[in-house]
Amino acid sequence: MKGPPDPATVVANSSLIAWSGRVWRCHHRSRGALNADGSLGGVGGRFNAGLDSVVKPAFRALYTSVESAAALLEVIRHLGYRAADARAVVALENIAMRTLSQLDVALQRVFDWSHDSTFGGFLTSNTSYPYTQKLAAEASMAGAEAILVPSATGIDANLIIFVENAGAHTQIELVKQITDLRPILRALEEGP
Amino acid sequence: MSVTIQEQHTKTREEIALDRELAATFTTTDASDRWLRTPNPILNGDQPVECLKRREYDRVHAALEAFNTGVYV
Repeated sequence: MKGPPDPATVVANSSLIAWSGRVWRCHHRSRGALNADGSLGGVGGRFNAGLDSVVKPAFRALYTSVESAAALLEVIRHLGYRAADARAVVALENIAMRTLSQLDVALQRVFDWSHDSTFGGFLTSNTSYPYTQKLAAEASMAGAEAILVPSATGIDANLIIFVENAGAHTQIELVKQITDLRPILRALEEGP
Repeated sequence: MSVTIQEQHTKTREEIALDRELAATFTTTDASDRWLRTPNPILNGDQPVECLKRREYDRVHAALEAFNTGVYV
């Protein structure tokens, strides 16, 4: 099986673009919508290196999704439900303590790999963390404020914001918050 | 709670803090049990319950914080 493309080469061959739009993230209601500190824990998330990662140095990332359903399902993946199929969602009261936050984002330097076929499935695989973290590290070192990547939930794209690369023109503002997730969860349960 | 910290001994300060954190994160014991038993990429594939057995409370705390702040795995 062919391996993924070299991260440094990918970054060297990619162009930074401006990107603006609204994104979602789902977090515990006691945590701030722009709090990225938790990403430094353990080995880190899919697209950032935590303090225990083999990728050095560690760097923080704010994980967001273009679609609200993707933000919700990314949380549900933490609970042991890894299927992209929304019907696999069970015990929905388990995420009752969550808030969906919508952010208005305007960035100047973004790598868009959300529809890049050269990665195959390596950006969403459950076994390719060292690769995705290395790719994100290369992007961050190249000065990117964020990367657009496919969501492991199968729903649209995620925008991973490298908060330490935010510049004077970086805009990240909280637009609104939804604290009652039950209507959305019911819709996911029922399916299309 | 069923899988987490048993009541068979006097709990340490770290265990009490983690119990509180789990209770604040999950509204049901089913949910916390499932999370504790699920291999966690943030823990390099370890189950949080395995870390608890080894008294690696900081690692479990870090994984919970990642979950609570919305880190994607």
